[in-house]
Amino acid sequence: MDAVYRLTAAILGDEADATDAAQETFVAAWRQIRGLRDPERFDAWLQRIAVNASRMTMRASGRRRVREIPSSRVPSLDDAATPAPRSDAAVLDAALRYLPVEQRSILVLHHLEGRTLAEIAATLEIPVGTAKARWFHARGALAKAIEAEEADS
Amino acid sequence: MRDGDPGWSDERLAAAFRERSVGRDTPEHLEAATMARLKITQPERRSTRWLALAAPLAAAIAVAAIALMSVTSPRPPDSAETDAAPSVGRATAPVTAPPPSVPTPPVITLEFPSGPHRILVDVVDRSGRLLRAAKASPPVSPGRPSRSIRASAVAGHPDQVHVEWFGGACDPTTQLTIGADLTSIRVESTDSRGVDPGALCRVGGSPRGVILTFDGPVRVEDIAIVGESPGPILQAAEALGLPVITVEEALRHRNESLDDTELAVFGYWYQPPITTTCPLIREISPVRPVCNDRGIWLTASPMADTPQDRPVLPPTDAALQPLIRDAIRMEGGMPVTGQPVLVVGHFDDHRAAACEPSVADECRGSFIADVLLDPANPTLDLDRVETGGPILDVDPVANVRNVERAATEAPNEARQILAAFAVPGGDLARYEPQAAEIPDLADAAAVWIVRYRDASDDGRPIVRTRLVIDGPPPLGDGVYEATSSGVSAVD
Repeated sequence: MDAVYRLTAAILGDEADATDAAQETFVAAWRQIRGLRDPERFDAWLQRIAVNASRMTMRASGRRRVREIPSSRVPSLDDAATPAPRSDAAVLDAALRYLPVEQRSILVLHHLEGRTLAEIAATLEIPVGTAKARWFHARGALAKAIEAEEADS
Repeated sequence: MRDGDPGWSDERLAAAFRERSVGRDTPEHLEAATMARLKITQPERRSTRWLALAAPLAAAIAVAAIALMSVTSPRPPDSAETDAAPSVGRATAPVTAPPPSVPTPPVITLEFPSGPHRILVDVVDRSGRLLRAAKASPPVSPGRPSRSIRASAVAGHPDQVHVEWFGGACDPTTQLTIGADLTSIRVESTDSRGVDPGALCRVGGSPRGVILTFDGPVRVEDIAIVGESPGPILQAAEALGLPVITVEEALRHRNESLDDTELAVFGYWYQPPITTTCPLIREISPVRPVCNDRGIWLTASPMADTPQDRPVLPPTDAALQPLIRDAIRMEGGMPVTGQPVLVVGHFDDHRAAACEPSVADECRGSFIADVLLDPANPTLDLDRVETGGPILDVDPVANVRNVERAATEAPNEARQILAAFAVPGGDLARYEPQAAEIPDLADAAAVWIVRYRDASDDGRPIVRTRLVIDGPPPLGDGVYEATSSGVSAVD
């Protein structure tokens, strides 16, 4: 459960959305579990479902009028006057918001989860060449977003 | 950095990803909420041979497999340094089905009535402090005339309930009112008087707009991180006319002679950097610590701030969990972990008498903080008293000096005010449940809650609570005293 939540949280960045997506992942996995032909590939199968659930959650989330703010990110009134310096994680977090879920997913799977591009291709059921191309474009988009974020800070 | 890659190197990026994941712990309620949904979800098809098992067994296999995956650490990518920081993912207890002794939580489907609805949602921070109260905004209409919500008890926590509002979001503009019991979950029309003040919204971490109050355990894990030895602390021997005692002495008082004596306890603040998502409970008491209240400690020795890659841990030394919901804060705001602090408060609050019998002992044993003070300068003036109260949607006519005179027949040095804040009469139940039953108080636009230090009949320092209906000075009519026996008018 932690691994799935970690993945959805890394992709979506939003605590509430990540919880939604994680829950949807398990429900979808349970619904589809009889279609799992190779139990040894359970990890990849579940990760694919989590990526899809994240994508669906992102779409639904975009329709909300007011976004939920994770309580852990709600600054205390007392903290308002003393903003903390921006860490790499904060810059990355902000930069990822510029990217579509598809690009975030491939970056998370590679750089956080440690999947090779071949494994990502298998997980997402896409050709390896497609995975490489997606990763390349995602990496470039992220670099631009990071550059923009760093320029703002 | 790879050739041709602009910006950060892969190693820096991987480290940033790991750092970004730190602290994003799996919400406490996710497992229970997921299990509740799985129970009402049927797998598709039954043709696959390897899973041609009875449904419960298949579910157990699925959950066990998921749990197995949950303890799998991510590997560093090919391009990352192999000696990078360890994974931030935490291995937790495997997900299991509720034990047989736990009854299956009921699933209740309720319909929203048609027409405009008004639902109150408050926003609280991690410590339970009110950041934003529900405003008296015009009623809002859901997009559809009728909506379904589903409520289910939380496995293993029969006094809690999750509520899902499909299509809704937990935000201050789409709101829901929770009744005092599960079956009275309802949507109010336009009259806020009927709203249960216990219905709070904990922002974030909620599946599909779950409306939450604080309850449920804060996740703490197994090992303590003890900080360095404390340096010399400039500490007053007396605060607000009370002798300063240690955490151990306060605990001894609770264990050996529990009463409502006002105590000034010196200790060190400890608040783990955790994210806690709290499920909804049917009833909340102002003196019963729940959920986030349990994450704050006053410890006898300082605890180090929990490193982000380490589990969050409870103190190993003597420690109190002060309930600080309405307490007046130190100048400069809330203390930080490791900071020395004087907490002035008491056990056996008068409101404990209104707790359910099953939790009465817990309520009596709660240490209710009235004031947090700097140990080096433990003073409190009236201006801080007035500004330190909850932030509420109320605009009182009187000020704290008017109220002081009315509530304590002051100026009276023996009756120092520790807290005074105004709340809408309709919100009184959140602070003084028994006062909410008095129509004159409940119907008032604003009621001052005044807590002042006094002496008991046997000479102990105690805190008394008086309620003053707001109005133009001089105040005098409409003063009530709240005690464990109830609320009565003061002549």
